[in-house]
Amino acid sequence: MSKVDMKSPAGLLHSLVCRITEKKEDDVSPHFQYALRVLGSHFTPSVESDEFQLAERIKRKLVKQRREGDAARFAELHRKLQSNNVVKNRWAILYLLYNLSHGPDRPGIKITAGEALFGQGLPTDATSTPFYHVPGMPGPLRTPMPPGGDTTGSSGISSIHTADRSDPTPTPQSFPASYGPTPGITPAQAAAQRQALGNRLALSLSSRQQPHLGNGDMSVATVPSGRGTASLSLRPGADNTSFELSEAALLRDVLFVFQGINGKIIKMSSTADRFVIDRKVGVPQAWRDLLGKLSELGWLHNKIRKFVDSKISDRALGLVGQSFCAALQHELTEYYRLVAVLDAQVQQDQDLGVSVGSGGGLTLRRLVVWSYEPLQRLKTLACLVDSCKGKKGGALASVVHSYMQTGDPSLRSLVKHTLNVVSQPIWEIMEQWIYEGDLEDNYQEYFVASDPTVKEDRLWHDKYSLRKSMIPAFITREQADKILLIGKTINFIRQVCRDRSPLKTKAVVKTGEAEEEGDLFTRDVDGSLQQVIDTAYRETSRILLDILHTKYKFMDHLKAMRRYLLLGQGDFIRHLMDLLEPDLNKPASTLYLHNLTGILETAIRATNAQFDDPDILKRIDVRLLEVSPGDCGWDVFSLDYHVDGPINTVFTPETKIQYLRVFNFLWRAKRMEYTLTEIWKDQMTIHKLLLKTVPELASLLHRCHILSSEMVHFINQMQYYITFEVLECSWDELWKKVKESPDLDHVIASHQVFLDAIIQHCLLDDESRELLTQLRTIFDLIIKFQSAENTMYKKAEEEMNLRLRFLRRIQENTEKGKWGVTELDEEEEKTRMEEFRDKFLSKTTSQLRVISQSYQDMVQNFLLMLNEHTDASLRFLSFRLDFNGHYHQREPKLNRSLSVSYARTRRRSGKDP
Amino acid sequence: MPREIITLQLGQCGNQIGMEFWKQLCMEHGISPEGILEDYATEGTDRKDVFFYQADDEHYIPRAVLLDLEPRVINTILNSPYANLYNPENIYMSTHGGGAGNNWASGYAQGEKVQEEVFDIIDREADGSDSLEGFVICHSIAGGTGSGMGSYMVEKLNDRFPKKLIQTYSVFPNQDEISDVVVQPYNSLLTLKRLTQNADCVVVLDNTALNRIAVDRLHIQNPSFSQINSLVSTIMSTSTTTLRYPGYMNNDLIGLIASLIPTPRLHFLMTGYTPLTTDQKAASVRKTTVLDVMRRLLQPKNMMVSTDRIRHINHCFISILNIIQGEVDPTQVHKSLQRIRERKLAQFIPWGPASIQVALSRKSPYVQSAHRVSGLMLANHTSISSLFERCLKQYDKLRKREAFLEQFRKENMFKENLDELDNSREVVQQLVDEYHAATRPDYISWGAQEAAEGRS
Repeated sequence: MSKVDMKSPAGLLHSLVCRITEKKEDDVSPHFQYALRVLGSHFTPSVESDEFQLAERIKRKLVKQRREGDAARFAELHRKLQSNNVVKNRWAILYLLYNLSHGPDRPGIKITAGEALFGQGLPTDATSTPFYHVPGMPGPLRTPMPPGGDTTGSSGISSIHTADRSDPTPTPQSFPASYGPTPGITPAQAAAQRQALGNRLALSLSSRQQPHLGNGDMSVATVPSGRGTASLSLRPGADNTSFELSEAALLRDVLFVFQGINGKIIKMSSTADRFVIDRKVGVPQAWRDLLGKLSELGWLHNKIRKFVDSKISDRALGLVGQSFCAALQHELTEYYRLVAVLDAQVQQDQDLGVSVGSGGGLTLRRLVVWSYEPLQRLKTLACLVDSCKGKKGGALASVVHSYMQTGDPSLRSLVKHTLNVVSQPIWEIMEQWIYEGDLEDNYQEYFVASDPTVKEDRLWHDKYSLRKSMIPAFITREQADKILLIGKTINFIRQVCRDRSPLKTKAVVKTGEAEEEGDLFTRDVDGSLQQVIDTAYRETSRILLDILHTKYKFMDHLKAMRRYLLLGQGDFIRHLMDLLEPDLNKPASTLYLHNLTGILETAIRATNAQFDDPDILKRIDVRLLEVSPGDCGWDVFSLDYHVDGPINTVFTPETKIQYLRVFNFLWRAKRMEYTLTEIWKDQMTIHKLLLKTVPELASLLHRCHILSSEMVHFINQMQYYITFEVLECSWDELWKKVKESPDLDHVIASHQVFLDAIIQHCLLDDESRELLTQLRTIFDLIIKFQSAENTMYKKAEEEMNLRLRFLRRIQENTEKGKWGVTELDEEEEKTRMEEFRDKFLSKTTSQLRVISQSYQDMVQNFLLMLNEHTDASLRFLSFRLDFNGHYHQREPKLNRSLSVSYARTRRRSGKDP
Repeated sequence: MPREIITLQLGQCGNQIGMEFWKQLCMEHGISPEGILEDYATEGTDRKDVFFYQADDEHYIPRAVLLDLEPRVINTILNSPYANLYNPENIYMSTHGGGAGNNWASGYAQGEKVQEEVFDIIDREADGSDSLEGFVICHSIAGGTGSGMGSYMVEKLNDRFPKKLIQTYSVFPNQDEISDVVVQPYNSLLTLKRLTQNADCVVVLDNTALNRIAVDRLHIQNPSFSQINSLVSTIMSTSTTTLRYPGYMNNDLIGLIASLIPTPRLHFLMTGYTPLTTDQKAASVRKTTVLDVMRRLLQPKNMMVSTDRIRHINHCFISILNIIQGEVDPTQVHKSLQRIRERKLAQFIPWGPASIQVALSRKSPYVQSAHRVSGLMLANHTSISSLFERCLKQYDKLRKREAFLEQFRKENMFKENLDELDNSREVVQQLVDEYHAATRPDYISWGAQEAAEGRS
């Protein structure tokens, strides 16, 4: 294609085609032909030839392609072109370039290429992309990024820059770089701007280099300095040197102010609490405004600096506070770096004598744009400083966490980073706590508090507590509770269970997670923490329960409690009563503990209790309750069960007292059962004996039988109620719950529920006091009946013996051949018998009638009270006691109240009774 | 070991059911026929000492005294695998070996003759126990040894051990078949008198009902003795489970029966058992719950006493004790009781409080049962009197004709007169009357009337 004149349009077109296709001249002829055909076709774009519109479209497109830098550059170049008037047909060229940029054949071609094409007439140096690396350019100046900023992921401009590169950046609709020096940054644009900031900095720095490298051509400087166009709209001309100096001075001052140091004209006013510009200095109002904006940074810096300086040596602040300071310090360092870069640039501008107005160096406006980001950051940090004052530990972390609730992703990530740093000590303490149970919290920052004065036996209940104020907001109350529990469990295992075997919780958690440690704790609010806690909780609780079940035989102790304190070992209790009876009938003050202990031993040896674990047996002991005057042995005797070690945590002294109360109640009821069987036995034997010789007793005895059978029924039903509705059911539930319990707290709770249920249903709670009193009276009456009956038997037996002797004498006399009886004897016998019949019998009969009557009244009263009781389960008892409706028929009141209460229950439960 | 129980087995029937009883106990406690604890049973929480004692060499020996006037049944035992179980010193067989000839009088008289030897054994056993609870006597009331010698023993035990309980498992004769023992009514009546006056508790095992159950419920056409006896042994062993597997309640015999027997003479208990199978393999397809079991126990067809329905008397329960074994949810008990009360499934006495007592008992882990839940009912029901009335009726028939009395007159007791028979009839009649009276609300003052009558 050499024959083509290079100056002719065809020649230009040819070289254009070569350039675009990036092929050798000879290879492009088909494309050249095509281009010629296209040009020759005279087609015109259907669009209006509006240069402005088109330029905007191009810029938008660039921005869309996330090349904001290029867009800005394009804007500059375009503007220059407009002012230069070198090219006439600007719209057409732009239109061509625009269309070329998304031609079907070359979808990948960049507008930069177009730019390059466009700048064909310009020196090629200038066509490089903004990131064009000029060899020999000094490294540190090339980029404002801190070294290693990418990898450390630390805070600062660069880190955010890095972090956000991965974020899906919202596409900004416009890039108003050409419209104003301080673009109003909408959140949507923020990301783009941030990236732009980095680029701009890099650009401006590299552009400063270019004059040295460039060939001195005017256009070289103009291309990169286009970035600084903002200043152009401010100042009417670049040759206005009267402000030039003062802007440089102002910049210097501003940089001082950035560091919180008073500048020459901008000084900190302690009265206004802000930086003010010396009024006397002639600074245009516009700049004053800018300076005011910029000096805010200094104020913020001072605020943060002051806080850091005052706290960094304050040990009372604790680790979290220190971390917070460190985070602030780090941010400040980043900030200083920025200031240093700016300073270097100002310095360089000055050294080179680059006029501010020439667009190469810093201007106040640029500074405002560039400091926008740091300003936001410092603002946030200052807010944090304000809120965190006086806070420490978890509370501080909570405050920081509350700032996470921002929509601005950059601030969010700043806060998140700060939070990560701040919470690091908390995580570390927590890790120590949930894996080892150690609480290394010298500054009371952690939300678990330990009370060193608490002894081992109360370790579980009292030693550790939650410091509610210190729970970081990103840890829920449930999680905190669980965390407390985990460490408590470990400590319990170590200190109380004396189990030093290493815990494998960490390994379990790790294998369960398959994540490295760092990851676990930087993620704060999401599920992984929950998972760690859950796994650690399950694991430690399992270990503890295992230890309790195997090494400390918790279940066996529980069973033992039931067998001995709740009288479950019937044969033992029965035998114990057999053996104790003579002693317990004596006044309580005459009892000797050692005698009773001896009896207890005997009872254990003689019954099935002997097969129990010796460890359990040696814990059973006798205890005498406080003696009040008039008590007999029955009233004060109690069994006791000694517990120690970890088991104590479940069987606390309080629960022991409950057990003793229940024992006392059951023991009394059992005694009644015992007494009644004794009565029954006496009746059976004496019945056989007496009736033969003293037949007139029949009626009296029959009454006794009827009454005692009524009593037997009452007591037995009472006992059945206790067995089934109280003990068995509660026990069943307890057993189920204990087996399912995931941790010791659940075990303790279900045990407590068990005891409470028994206390309540055994009429031992406050609500049932009257009932219990009534029941005691019934019990007393049974005892009274027994003694009355015994007196009667004694007398009757006497009578029987007298009669038998009389008969024997008759027999003897008859055998001797005498009269069987003398008249005198007969008379004597007769009077005695009559006396027995009339006096004793009638007296005893009436006495018995009184007992019988009052017994029945009491039982009826008791039933009435039961029916009025609020506890529905006690109605089971009344139901049992009056199964065949015997008392109903006798007591109309009972009938009424019962039906009322039935109706009440029916209404309450909403189903058929 | 406290609360021991000594078992006396008398006569053919007594020894047979006794043997079955011990077999069952051995199985439940994991004791081999030789009396050695099986390996799998060493860690039991069961109480073996109530019925067994341990010899010096770890052997478990039943607290049993085997008495018979003829050697046949005891010899069978001694030739069975269980021969070495018993203490040979506790076996007494009459030297002449002639038996009592199904004659109460003969049995009674021979009992008197051999009493010293027998009481040597019993005293030794009693001394060997820490605190003897009482005696259990297995016998039948119709034959000679069980009834005659049994009666004698009951009387004598009462004299010797007035403070000890006497419980009997008394087998009543089958009324459905004609007995070869013609004097059965006499024997029964005379025994009944002793049971009424001297025993504390009589568990009535009615052969009539047992046979009917075997035929009707178990579909055995001609039930053998051993099949019937296995029913009996089930009842006997179950009624003692609460003693052998101690729990919160009913851990001694006296506690068990005190609640069942309100007045001394109304101590004849009937039993019911469900589900009934002699063969464990014949698993029932029915689901068994506590309610099912308790409801079925109240059905007359499951009762092991055949009672006639008498229209003009409102027979009723004086007391009930259900011993439920197996996997029982204790919360079901209350519901079942409620249901029974609502449906009025059981009629109770009108003169005092009464209810169904329920004892949940553990089951032996060594005996497999096809049923999840099984139940035994011990009940004091007034209709048991019909059994005695029947007995009286038969006696009256015989007595009117003065039939078969020669045998009796041979013995001392009846040489001069037959007052003993008349007296016995009176006692049994009184018993029947008392049971009838117990169906009426005025039973409370029943003794008073009697006393008043007596005085006037």
